[in-house]
Amino acid sequence: MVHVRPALDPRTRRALAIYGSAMGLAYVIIGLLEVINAFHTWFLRPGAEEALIALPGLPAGDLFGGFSSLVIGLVLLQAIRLWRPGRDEDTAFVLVGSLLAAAFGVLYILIFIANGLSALLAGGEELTEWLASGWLADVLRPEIWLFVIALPAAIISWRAARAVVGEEGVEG
Amino acid sequence: MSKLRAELGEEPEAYFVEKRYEFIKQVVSKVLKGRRRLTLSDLLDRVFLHRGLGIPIFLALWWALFRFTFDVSAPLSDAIDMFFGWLGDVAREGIANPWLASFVADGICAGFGSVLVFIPPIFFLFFGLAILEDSGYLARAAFVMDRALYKLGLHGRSFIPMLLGFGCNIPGVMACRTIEREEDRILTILVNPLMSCSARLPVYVLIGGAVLGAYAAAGVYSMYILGIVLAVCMALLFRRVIPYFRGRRSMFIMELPVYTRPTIRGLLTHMYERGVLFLKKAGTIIFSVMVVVWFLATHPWSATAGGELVENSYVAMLGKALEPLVRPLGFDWRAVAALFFGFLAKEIVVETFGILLGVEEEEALTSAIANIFTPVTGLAFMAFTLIYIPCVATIGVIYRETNSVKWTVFAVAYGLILAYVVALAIVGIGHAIGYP
Repeated sequence: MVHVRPALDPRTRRALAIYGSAMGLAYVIIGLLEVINAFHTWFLRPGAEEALIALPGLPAGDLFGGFSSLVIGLVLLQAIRLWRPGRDEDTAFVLVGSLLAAAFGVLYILIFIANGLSALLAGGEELTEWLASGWLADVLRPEIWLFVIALPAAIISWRAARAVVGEEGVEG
Repeated sequence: MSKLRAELGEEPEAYFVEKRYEFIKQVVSKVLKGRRRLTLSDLLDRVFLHRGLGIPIFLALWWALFRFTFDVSAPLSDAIDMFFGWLGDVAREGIANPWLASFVADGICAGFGSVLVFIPPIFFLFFGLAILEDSGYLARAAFVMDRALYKLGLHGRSFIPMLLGFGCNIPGVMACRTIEREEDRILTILVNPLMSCSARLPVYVLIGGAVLGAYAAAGVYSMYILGIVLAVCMALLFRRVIPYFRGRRSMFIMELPVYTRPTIRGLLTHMYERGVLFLKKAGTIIFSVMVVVWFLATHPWSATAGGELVENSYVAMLGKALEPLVRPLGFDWRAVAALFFGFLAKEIVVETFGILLGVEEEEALTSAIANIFTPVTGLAFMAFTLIYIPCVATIGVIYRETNSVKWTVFAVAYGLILAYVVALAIVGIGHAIGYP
């Protein structure tokens, strides 16, 4: 076990605990909704066009995407441990959680761009359909806007992690 | 031993290793003065190696990798597809001799086009894998999977050969040399072909895209998960049933590298080195087989009316002869012919469909595939392709690494039986829960 002296001031520590666990809760809720939707579309009513929970951008059948959001949420929820003093190294949960949030946020943005390019190449009806509604469904994907909200957490936890490990603690 | 296992609640070897490290930790904290500086790797490992979250994080990252591979590369595949479609039309219009026009348009352009559209997803897959590997995460993935693998009958060191198997089963099988105990090594070699290599990806992308629609990426991901699940199940089964594999397993010790920031140059180099193997294969084995398949699908020339009536071709005769075997799975003669040639290299399954269905462009091929598979039979076909038999090159390597005809034949035979059983189960369950 590695022991460290407290490197974070109480305000930063508690801010990270609240911010991280609030983000975690949001991801868990979104993940659960996506898993419920996917379970309904995959197993209860196979091939159903309508999602059980119809919210803008919430996919109807992305089971693994929902699972991934749940995982991000569970990692971020561990930030609550930072509430207690002497657990500075638990900053890692906020850092890794926000890194995962960033990875999925960027991924869904790339998918949005790729879908647009595919529609542009195909032209005709596919392009009209994407311009009419497809782009909005892509861009409203909850993980994109949750990533935007999680960005400050990534920056704060990165700074906090550097404070915890010291200047030469960063490899690479 | 079993009494000890029951008493401890886990494998005795794993228990003693943990106790040994706990003891070392206690001694170190008493004899060393000062404190070791905490590193960023220590911090990140608290999460990535977490007992409960480690494996779910691995699965989530794996899913992100497949969305990146499948969805983000799509426009590039579309562009290649359009180019080969245009080239085929130019050849058909520009060449007066119908035999030569068919050879160039339906053989070369359709064949190459249907395989080369998978260059983008394959390169994207290797780029994503390179990010995970160069950052130091893949070693952590091996570490978190060790406990699970050990309980499931595999050696912890099996994880790296299994991961390599996702790129290509040949280096995966060869990497099993690092496993010292012969029984553990052969067991890992036998289950390695169940790891879904990059050659199977084009088949999943084609069939999944055709019959699973918006769930295509989930279908592809499921195949990778199915491969892992089957590998551990078969390892467990073989260890229980085959006396040769029983006995004490050797321990897994590995040193974890520090996390590093991957460089663009390093990522591109890794991606190129692995992806170029696919290009070489496309230019050699796939091209040769493609010419053979085109010949068999368009001859006898008069009976097929110059390649128009594939139903009268040699390949149709072969497919129809084998069709009764796979009819319970919902496959027709074209599917069985594609699987037959896929034994030479899995990518050829796609190219064979292209030639048999007489279409060049991916969109037209996708529509044609949608007419011969339902979502359930398509998924069963994907699973069959994953499991049924390693490609001929992998079989050669299995023979070389095991130095045994018996184990080589066993690898082929159990693959065929397992593929049939799993595909039948998918069709049965799919129909039972209401899918057509």
